[in-house]
Amino acid sequence: MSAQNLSFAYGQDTVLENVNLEFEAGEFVALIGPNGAGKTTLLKLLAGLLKPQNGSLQTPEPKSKHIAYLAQSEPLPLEFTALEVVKLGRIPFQGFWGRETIADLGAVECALRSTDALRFANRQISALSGGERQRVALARALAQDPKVLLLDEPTNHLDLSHQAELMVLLRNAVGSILQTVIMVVHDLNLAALASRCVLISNGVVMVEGTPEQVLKPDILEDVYQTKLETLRSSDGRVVVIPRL
Amino acid sequence: MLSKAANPISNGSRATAVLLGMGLLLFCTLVFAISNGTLEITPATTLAAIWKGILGTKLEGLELIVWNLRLPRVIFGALVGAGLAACGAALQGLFRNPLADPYLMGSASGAALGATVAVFATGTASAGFAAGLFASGSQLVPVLSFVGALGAVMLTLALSRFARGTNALILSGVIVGSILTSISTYIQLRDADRMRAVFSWTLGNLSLAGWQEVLNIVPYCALGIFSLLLLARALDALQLGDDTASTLGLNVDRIKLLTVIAASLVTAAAVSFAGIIGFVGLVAPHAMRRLGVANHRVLIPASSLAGAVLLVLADLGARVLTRPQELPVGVVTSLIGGIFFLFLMRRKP
Repeated sequence: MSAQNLSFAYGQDTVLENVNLEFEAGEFVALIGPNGAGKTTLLKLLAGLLKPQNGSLQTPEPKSKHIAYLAQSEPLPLEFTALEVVKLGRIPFQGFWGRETIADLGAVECALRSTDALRFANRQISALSGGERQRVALARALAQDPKVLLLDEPTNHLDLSHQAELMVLLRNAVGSILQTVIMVVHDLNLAALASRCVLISNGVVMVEGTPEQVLKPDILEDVYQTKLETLRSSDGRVVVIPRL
Repeated sequence: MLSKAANPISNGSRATAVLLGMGLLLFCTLVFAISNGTLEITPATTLAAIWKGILGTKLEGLELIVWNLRLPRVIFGALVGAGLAACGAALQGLFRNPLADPYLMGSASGAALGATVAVFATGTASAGFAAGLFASGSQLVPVLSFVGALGAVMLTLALSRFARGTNALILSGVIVGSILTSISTYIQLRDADRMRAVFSWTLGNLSLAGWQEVLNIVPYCALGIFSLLLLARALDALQLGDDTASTLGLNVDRIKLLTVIAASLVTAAAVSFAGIIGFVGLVAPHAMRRLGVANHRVLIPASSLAGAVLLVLADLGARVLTRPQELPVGVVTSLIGGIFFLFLMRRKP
């Protein structure tokens, strides 16, 4: 999956300019950057929701069978059961009459298991907590059996333990049930868990590389316009904290 | 394979139970509604008359009332109720708004304007003659109200193209409805007697329904409900938002357009033959959701059955509550709708 000289504007407002990126199998990529940098627009272009005005995109086709997209705060129908929501992920594989096959049910079960959502599969969404709902939304995306999973701030509204759970789940999924995960995330400490970080500012890719290469105070301070310092966690990860 | 905790059969069995239960309730309601009225008829006579009618055997006495008067009326009511409820369920899904109803696209106002024009088109004829249009079997009122309803929806769709999004469609429907209502009101105010005739029509009436009306409305209801059923899976996907539905390979704009067209055809047919019957399209899907039915492949048929039950019972109420005179059925459905929503409001804050 790659983007060459990708540009996009909403009217006169240029959001992305000459973006060149390649995403390899086995990568867990975090798209980071300040508000309005163009991260969500890039994700929507990769998902096929927006058409590039300039440049080109190479994505696996048909997108609906190979790319799953989890929108920021995806609305879930409160009266549906978790199982009914997850089954919607199989729509690209079903024919005109929408009949479910054994393969569909297998993919749904696998998605429910990998997100630990099987035990509340028959409960209504309205009866689930925020963390459980997010797992259902993720299971819906995984039920598409995609090669590439695109997530837009999936940790929003999740408490610390659910954020950690989600990140572990995504890291484990890469290379096993998914080829590539591309995630827009604001929390730089969660981005540090990815295998690659892409820092975008004003529609331009500023830096890309491993978290250690990107999450440096001199690079981040320039982009975020605030004083920062980095530390190392006990397991060697980069931790970014603002200097007040 | 899925473990028992997540077995999809548990969803399927609920759906089957609801559909079978509603089907049985509809059958009992039909027999009950046919048997009751100004003249009491036993259920046995009712069933015998229906059986003889189907076989083409000679009917006599009360059986003639059953076959020629009451059966077509209740079937017509069931079809109208089923159609309006299916449209309500589909449009509530499309707009992700539980308060959406079949008239949201302006079809009721368009139909009312059509009926108004039909009555006032009689020119210098007496108001009594104009009012008699509704009872004479003339096709002028249904044809013009059908044209008015579809025209209003087309106007709504055209207006909504100026702004993207579902809210633009709802707002366009409100604008079209408001403008058409003001035109109808202006025309009606010019002649109080004829206004009364139109006003009476707008409250809904099934008393003129015969086999011909049943035959007239069957194609619209059958085609409309079948089309909505084909769109049901896509309507489910739309509950996840337009973007997610698009990434599932669905053409969201086309689905919205097809749903509006299918629902509008049924609504236009219902309103042109039966007048404006409120609340059925709103109450029936709500009632089915209370039974735990949410996905549209079950919700649409279950709501259709519930809508049929509701309108047949409301029409029975209209026939017997003030007998020998009849109430407009829309008065009864509005009353039931009001009480139902009061009940919902008290149960679920």
